[in-house]
Amino acid sequence: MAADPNTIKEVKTLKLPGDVLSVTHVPGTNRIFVGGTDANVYAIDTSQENPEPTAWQGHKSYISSLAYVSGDSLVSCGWDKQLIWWDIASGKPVRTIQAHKKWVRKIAVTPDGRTIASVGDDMVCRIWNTQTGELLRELRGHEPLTPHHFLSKLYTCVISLDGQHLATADRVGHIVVWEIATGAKVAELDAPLFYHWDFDRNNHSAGGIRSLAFSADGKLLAAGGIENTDVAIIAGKALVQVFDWKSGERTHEFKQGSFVFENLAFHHQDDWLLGAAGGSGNDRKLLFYNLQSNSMFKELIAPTPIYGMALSETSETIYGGGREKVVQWDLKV
Amino acid sequence: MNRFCGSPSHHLTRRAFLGNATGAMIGGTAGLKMLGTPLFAEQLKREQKQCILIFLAGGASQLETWDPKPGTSTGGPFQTIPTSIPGYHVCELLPKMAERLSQHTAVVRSLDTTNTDHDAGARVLLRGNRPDDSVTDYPTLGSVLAHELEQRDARVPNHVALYTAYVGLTLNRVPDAAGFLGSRYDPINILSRLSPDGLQPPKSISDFEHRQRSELRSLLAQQFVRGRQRDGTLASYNDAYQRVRGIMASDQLFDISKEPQNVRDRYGPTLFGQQALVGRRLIEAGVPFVRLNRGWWDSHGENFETHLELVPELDHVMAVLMDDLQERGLLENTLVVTFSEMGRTPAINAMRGRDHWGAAWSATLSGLGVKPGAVYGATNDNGTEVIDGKVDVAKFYATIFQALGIDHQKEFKASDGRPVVLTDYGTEPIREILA
Repeated sequence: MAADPNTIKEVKTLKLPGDVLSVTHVPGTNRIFVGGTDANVYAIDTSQENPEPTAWQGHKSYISSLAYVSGDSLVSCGWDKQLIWWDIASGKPVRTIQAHKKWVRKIAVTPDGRTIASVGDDMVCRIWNTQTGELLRELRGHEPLTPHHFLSKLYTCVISLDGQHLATADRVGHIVVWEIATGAKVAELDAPLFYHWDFDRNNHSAGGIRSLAFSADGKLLAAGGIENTDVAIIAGKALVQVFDWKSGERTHEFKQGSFVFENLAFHHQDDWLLGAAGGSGNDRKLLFYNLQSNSMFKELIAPTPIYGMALSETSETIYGGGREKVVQWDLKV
Repeated sequence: MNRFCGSPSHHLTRRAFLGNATGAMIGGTAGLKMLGTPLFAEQLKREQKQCILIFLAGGASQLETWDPKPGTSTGGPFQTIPTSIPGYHVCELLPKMAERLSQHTAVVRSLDTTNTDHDAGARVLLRGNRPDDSVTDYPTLGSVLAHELEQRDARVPNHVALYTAYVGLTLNRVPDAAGFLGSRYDPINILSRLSPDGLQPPKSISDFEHRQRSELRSLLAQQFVRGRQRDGTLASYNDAYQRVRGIMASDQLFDISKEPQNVRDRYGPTLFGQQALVGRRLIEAGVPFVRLNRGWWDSHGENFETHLELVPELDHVMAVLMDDLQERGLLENTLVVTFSEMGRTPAINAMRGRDHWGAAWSATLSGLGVKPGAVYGATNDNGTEVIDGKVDVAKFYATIFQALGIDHQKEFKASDGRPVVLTDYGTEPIREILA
């Protein structure tokens, strides 16, 4: 069955107590896990007509990212600096690690479920054995300070579908691509348009690369965020840049609206690139880009800003987490 | 009020400093070498009370600083840390000040100023809550304190305001002006840099020529003013001109390259840190009032990212400034006040921002006249309202004046001759936080 964005329809909305910052989907099922500002992980079976989320407690602050590992294992991370391994069957934490010295922003799991990467504001990417929780490697390739002497932030990471490469990106628009097996840096990219320093107006910075996505064939790397913003950090253009990361060439750039792309995902056969954004008013959107024609071909105003997103392995279902709700869209033809 | 005590030692010290500073303009830095000497600091300590206002333009969040509410729907992602005040916790972004609170600082957690707008908030917070708005030329806090704390023989500026960003100057559209007190107490505004423009005469005029012109202008001005003595504006202009050469001589006060590298490193590389070092130099030289205007905190979007950047800088600069003032013996005669034009909403909006909030927010006072470690007032569990010790602007101002030894019920005469009181009649300061 094909996944056509032009057929997109909202099929389910589920209210939750807090804002949802992260969503992960269990492949081949209707199960998702979400987490956010109330520090609980929620297990949700979306096949039910009126799903009743089950809350799992363990974090002490916002949950920033979730990753389904394999079998009965789920990992979450948060602004409490922790990684927590969960037993899906019981909903109990099985391992808690003080993983970073500062906020943990994002985690990503290899397709075989054996390795997990975490990035945090201590500007280190750590590679963990998902089965044992053992720290396998620390990757350091991002400057701890911005050019203007403030603390930088390592916002996001993503792993290629072949499990070979990991990309990490920071506040100032620096991207590093690593070989997971060796920890070697294999590429570095700079996307300075994502970093904005306003000396005269507000004398602080804004921006940063907030989302990354590898294309299914692993050749392209998309980065999302915000181009520029006003003094109150509410009115900047959403920005996506796509790179042929091996050559370093920037192949595409899209700007529009007034929001931050916090989530990007490629169609499982690279038919399109999806961006999901949080913003005010009508600037809360799902946007679909055709890289062949270098254009945005479908735009949908979401019922909530989208802070976290998961795209199913067939690209037929989108789960978006936002303002006290999770929304499910179907793209099935 | 003239705080010149009249003692010979005072006179000698001030004159010695100023004479040397004037000389420094011509050919040396001898006057500046007096900065930091124990004798000079001791002299100031005995004689002069001073104030630094750290104005967090745009509205810093009380929840990400002095009144955190972790674990509540309004609390945000940050955790809290204990402070040197038993039982009092602050946001984890303030570890340096957390250590120092019991030594120097009182916290007010119960400001209720009702205003939720930058302009109106700044008008109220920088002028005090004027009960009689018909006095349109009421001076701002800095000008009032410059007037009250100045030393008449001083040739350093009375009132200096350093801004990190221009929105603090243009969005807070409140003329930071001396109004009916006269231009002598107007601020020297320094925007996005460390020193004012134009302290030196044009290169086409020699120092000798400048002196001659100044003397001629002074002679003519005295003849003109004679018979017009009741015109305060004329007198004020004349004062200002007479001070020009003294202020010109103070240009090196703004030059932090005169500081040892380790001191500059201590304050850090950011503009706010460097401006704070300029502020300390100005205080050390006897400037009565310095405003460090750190903006722009307005975080309607991404409040936590903004505060993650700005609060650690505030923590560092406040801590270093306190330490440096204390080590130089200046903190016991200097009040350091930190506040914004308002706080930020407990509710977190769709852009993970916090909006404007005046009903329950926080400020700090450190140093002179303050009971160290005092924590005054309380807000409810989610920080939406004050539940104990509500403080309005008049009460807050009365506390500032009292800490500086100024009668908060003192009356001035406005331009039209009407009496104007510093804080509304019957206002009481927060005595619980005063030493």
